[in-house]
Amino acid sequence: MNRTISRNVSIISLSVLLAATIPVMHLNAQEKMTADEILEILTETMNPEQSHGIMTMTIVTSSGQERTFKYETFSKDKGDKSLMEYLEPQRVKGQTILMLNDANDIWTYFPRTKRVRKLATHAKKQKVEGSDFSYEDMGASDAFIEEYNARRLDNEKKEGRSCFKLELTRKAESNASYSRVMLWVDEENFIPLVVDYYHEDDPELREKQLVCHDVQLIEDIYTPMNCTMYNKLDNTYTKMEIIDITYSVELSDDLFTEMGMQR
Amino acid sequence: MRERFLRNWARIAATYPWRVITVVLIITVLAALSASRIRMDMRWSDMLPANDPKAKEFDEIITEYKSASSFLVVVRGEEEQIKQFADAITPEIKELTQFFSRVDYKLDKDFLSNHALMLAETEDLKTFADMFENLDLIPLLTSINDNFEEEYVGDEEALSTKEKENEAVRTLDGFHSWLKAMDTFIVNPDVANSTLADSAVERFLYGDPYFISQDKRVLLMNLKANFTAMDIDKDIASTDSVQAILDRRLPDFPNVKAGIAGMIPLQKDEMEHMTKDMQFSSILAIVLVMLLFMLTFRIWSTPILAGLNLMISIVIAAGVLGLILGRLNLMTSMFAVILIGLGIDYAIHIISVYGERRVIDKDAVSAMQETLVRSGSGIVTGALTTAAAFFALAISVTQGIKEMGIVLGIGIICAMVTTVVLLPAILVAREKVLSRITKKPIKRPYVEFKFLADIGRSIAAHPMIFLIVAIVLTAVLFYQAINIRFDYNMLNLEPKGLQTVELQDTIIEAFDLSPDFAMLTTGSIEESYEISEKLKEMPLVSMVENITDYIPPKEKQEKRMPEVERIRKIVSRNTERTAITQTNLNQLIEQLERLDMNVYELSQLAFIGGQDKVDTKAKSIIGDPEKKDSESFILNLVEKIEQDPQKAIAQLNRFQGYYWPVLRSRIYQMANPDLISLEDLPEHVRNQYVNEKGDKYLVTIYPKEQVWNYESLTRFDKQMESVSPKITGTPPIFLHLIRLIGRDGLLATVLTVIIVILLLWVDFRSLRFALLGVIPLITGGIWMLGIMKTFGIMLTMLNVMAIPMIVGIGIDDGVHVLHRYMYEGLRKTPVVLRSTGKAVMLTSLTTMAGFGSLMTASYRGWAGFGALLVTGVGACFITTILFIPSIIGLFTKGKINDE
Repeated sequence: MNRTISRNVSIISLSVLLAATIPVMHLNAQEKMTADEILEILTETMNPEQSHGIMTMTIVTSSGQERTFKYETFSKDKGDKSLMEYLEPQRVKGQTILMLNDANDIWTYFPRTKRVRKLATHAKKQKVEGSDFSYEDMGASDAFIEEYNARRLDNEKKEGRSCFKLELTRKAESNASYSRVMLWVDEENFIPLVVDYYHEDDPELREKQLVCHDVQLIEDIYTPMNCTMYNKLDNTYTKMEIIDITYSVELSDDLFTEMGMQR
Repeated sequence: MRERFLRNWARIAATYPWRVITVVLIITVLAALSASRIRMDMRWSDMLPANDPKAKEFDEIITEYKSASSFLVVVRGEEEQIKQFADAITPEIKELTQFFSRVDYKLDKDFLSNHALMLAETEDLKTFADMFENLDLIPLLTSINDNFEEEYVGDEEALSTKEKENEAVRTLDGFHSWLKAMDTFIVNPDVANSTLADSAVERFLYGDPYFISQDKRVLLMNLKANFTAMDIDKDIASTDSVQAILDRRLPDFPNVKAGIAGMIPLQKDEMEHMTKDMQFSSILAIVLVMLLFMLTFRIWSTPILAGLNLMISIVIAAGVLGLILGRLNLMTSMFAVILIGLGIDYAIHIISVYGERRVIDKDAVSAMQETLVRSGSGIVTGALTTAAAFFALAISVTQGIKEMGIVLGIGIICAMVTTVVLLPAILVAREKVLSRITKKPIKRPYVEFKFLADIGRSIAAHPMIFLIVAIVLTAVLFYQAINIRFDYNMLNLEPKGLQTVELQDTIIEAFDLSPDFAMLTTGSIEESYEISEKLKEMPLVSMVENITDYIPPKEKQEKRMPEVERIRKIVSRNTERTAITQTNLNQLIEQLERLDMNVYELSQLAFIGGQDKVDTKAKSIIGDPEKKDSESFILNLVEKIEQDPQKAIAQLNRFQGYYWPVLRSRIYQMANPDLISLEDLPEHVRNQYVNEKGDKYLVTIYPKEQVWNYESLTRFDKQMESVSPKITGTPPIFLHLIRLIGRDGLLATVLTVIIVILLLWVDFRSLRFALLGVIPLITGGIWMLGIMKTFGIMLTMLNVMAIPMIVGIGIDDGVHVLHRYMYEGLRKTPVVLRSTGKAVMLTSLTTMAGFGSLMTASYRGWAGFGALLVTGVGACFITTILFIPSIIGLFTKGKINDE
C-alpha cells in the first residue's frame, strides 16, 4: 500500500523532474514525438530519485462513508524502496509499511505487538487499503512500456490543459490488470492528468479513472498535489493529497530495513 | 350510411327497449364468464417483450427451479431467543407440506461432514494437514497460530473478496467458541461437559450452524417452496399460513420480532393491494362521476343508469380481453378505472342531447333518433380516434405498453358500442317506467355555465393578451418540465409500509446482501465455476450460490484428492494424547498470547483495509484498541490460567479428553477422498441447482447493497453484463424495462401524435385546423410535466407509460371545440365556450374523477399514474380554452357574435 503512496508521490512529482530535464529542443519537437517517446518520458517522470513527504489518503465508499489516513512517506532509488508510517488515525499511529523490489516484497510493523510481518509477495493487483488504487495503477516502474502497445491519438484538452492523448493496449503475452489504458499527458510537464483504466476482460468497460490536478512547482519539480482515483464500477473514489514534500533529501539505506521500520 | 344506421338503431332501441336490454344482459353474462378466465400477471418480467432473452431466461428459471421463488422468514432479537424461536416454528412450518419441501436455517452438516475437505482449496488443504498433525491442545493452538499468520496476516489477498472476508469471520467465530469453551471449563467446571466440547468442535469446524448475522441479532430462515411464485393462489395461501404460525408463536417469545419477505410473499402483497385498489378505485370513480353528473345536470336517476351502462361495457370489454389476451399485467390491471373516466363521456353526450330533444320532439322514438343522429356520429368518430391512438401503442416492443394499447383500444370501442346500443334503450325504458308510475311529464332542469361564456368574450376581445399569458405560462412550465426527474426506485412504487419491502433493508444491513438477486443458468458444472469466480470479483456482488459450492469441477477435485487422502492418513496416525502439565503450561500460555497478537494484527489490517466485519469480530475477541476499558478475552483467559494453574491444568485436560475423540472422528469423516458426483448430492440441493432434465445449472448472485436507485442498478447491471449478457432477475429486468419503456414511450408518443394529426386532417379537411387542434395537446403535455415538477411529483416506470395515453385523451377537447367553431363560425367564441366548453369541461372533470380515484391507491405506482393523468387531462382542458380561442381571435377580424 505504501508503494502506491510512493507511486503517487512519483506521479505527482516525477513528471516534474522530467520537465526539468527535458531539453528545449525536445519540447519544440513535441508534435513529432511518437507514443513510445512520450511514454518513455512519462515513465521516467514516474520515478523520482528520492522523496520525503506527508500525505493523506481519503477513501469514500459508495454510501458516502469516509476513512482518512495520514502518512509520512520516504522513497529512494526512483521508488524501488519506500517506507510509510501512519500518523493518523490514532489506532494505527506508528504502524509502518516497507516495500522493496518494485512492491514485490512488502512488510508491515505493528508497534503494539512489536512484530514485523511479511505481507503478500504478489499484491500488485490487489486493492491498497480498501482504496480504489492498486499497486499497478500508478504506472509503477516501466509497466506501461513493458505490458502495453502504445498509440498516439490527436491531442486533446483535459483539465484545461493541452494534452498528448495515448492509447495503450495490453500486449498478447501480458498479464496486466487492464485490457486498455487511455492517458492524457500534459504537453508542458509530461504529467498524466487523466488516466482511464479499462476492465481486464472488456476493453470498452471503463473501470477506473485517475485525475490529477493542482500542479505545483516544488524544488524545480512539477508536482500534482491532488490525485483522485474514481472507481466507475462500484462508485467509490480515493483522494490522495500531498501535504508536504521535498525531493532534496538524503535517505539512508538503513531506513528501508526491518530495523528502519521500528525506528 | 352512418346516419341511416344510427337512425334505424335508435328506432329499434326506443321501440323495443326491454328486448335490447335483455339481449345485452345475456351478452354481459357470457362476457363475465369469459372475463373470469383472465389471469393477473403482475411481475415486471411480464412487461418485457415476449421474446426478450432476459424475460425468457427469467421465466424458464422461475418455472424450472422452484427454489428461485424465495420465501424468507426474518427473525430479530437476542441470539438465544431467536434461535429458540426458529427451532420452535420449524416443525410447524414443515407440516405445511403442500407448500414447502424444506426449511433451511441451519448448515446442512450431513453433506459437509462427509465431503467438506473436498470442497476446500488445495492450498488450504496443505495448511489443514499441518494443523491436524497433532490434535492435542498445545500443538493445535500452535498450528492454528502458524496457519493464522500465514493465512490472514501473511497474505493480504486472503481478505480481498467478500466471500473470503465472510470466511475469515466464520473462522474467527469458531476460534472464539473454542476459547469460550476453554474458559467455561476453567471458570465453571460444573456446567462444562462433553456436550459443550462437542459444540466447540462443531463451531471450530463449521462455524455457527444457524444462518445468523454477525452481530447475532438477525436470523434468516429460507423456506423452500414446492411451487413457483407464478402460482398466485399458493402465494397467498402459503403466506397466510406462515403468518398465522408466526402470529401464534410470537407471544411466547416477547422480545422476538419475526416477519416474512421474499418473492412469494411480495407477489401476494402486491396482488392483494392491487385487487383492493382496483375495487376501491373503481367504486370511487363511479361515485365521483355520478356526483358530477348529478350536480351538473341536476337529475338523479339517469346517471345511475348511465353508470350501469358503463359497468356493463366494462364487463363486456373484460370478456373480449379474456378471449383475445387472456391476461392483465401490472399496467393493464387498472383498465376498468380508466374506462370509467373515458367511457362516461359518451353517455354524457347522449343524455345531454336526448334531454334537449325530448322537449322538442313529440315522442321518445323521434327524440332518440334525433339524438343518435346528432351525437352518435361524434361519439363514433371520437371513440375511433382515441382507440386508434391507443392501438398505435401496439407497435411497442415492450409488452406492458403494447398490451395497454390493445386493452384500452378494445375498452374504448366496447364502451362506445355499448353506449350507442344499450343506453338509448335504458333511457327510453326508464321513461316508460317513470311515466307509468307518475303519469306526469318529466321536467328537465337546464344548468348553464355562464362563466365560460364570459371567458369566451374576454378572450375574443383581447386575444393577444391571453395568448401572451398562455405562452409565458407555457415557457415557465417548459423550464420546469425539462427538469423533471425520474424516480428509478422500484420500491417507491410499492405500497408504503409493506413489511416484505421493509425487511429487505434489515436483511441488507444484517447480512450485507440484498434478497433481490440476479440469476443465470449454465450448461455445465465447469461453466458454473468459471462464471461464479468472475462474479465473485465484482465489487457489488456479496455472494454467489452455485452447484460448485457442493461439486467442484472434476479437475479441481482430482487435484485435491491426494491432499484429502493425506489428511485422512495423518488423522488416522494421530492416536497418542499428551496431557497438559505444569511443565508445558507455559507453552500453552505462550500460544494464547501469540493468538492474541495475531488476532490484533488481523484486526489492524482489516481496519485499514475497510473490512469492517472482520474488524468487529476480531475486536470481540481481543478488545477494542480505541477503548481504554475494553479487554482481551484471550488475555483474560491467560490471567485465569495463571491465577490457579492446577485447576486450569485439570480442567483443560478434561476439555481435551472430551473434544479430542470427537474432533479426530469428525476430521476423519470430512477427509473423504471420493470424487463428489451429482448422485452424492442431497435431493434438495440437486433441486436447488440442477433442472429436471439435468442439463442446466442455476447460478444465483446476491448484490451487496440495495440496488433500487438508478446508479446502483446500472452499476450492478454493468458488472453483470461484463460477466454474461444472459444474467437475469428482477434488478436486470427492471433496468432493461426502464430502457425499453423510455424508447417505446417516445416512439409511441410521436406515432400517436402523427396518427392524431392525420385523423384530424381527414376529419377537418384542413391541415391548418388539424395543427391548431394539436397545439393544446402539446402545450397541455408541457403544462402537465411542468406542474408535476412544481409539485415535486416525479416520473416513474408506471406513470411514464401514461404519457402516450394523454395524447389519445387530451386531443378530444380541441377536436370538439374546433368542430363547434366550424359549425358556428370563427367569431362565435362566447357561444362555443358556453356550450361546447361546458361539455368539454364536464367530460374533462369526469375523466379526471375517474383517474383521480387512482390517486387513492395504496400501490404508489398507480397513485402516481393517476396523478399524471389528472394533471394531464386538466392541463389539456385549460390549454384548449386558452390557446384555440385566442389564436382564432387573433386572426379573425370583425364584431364578436354573442348569439
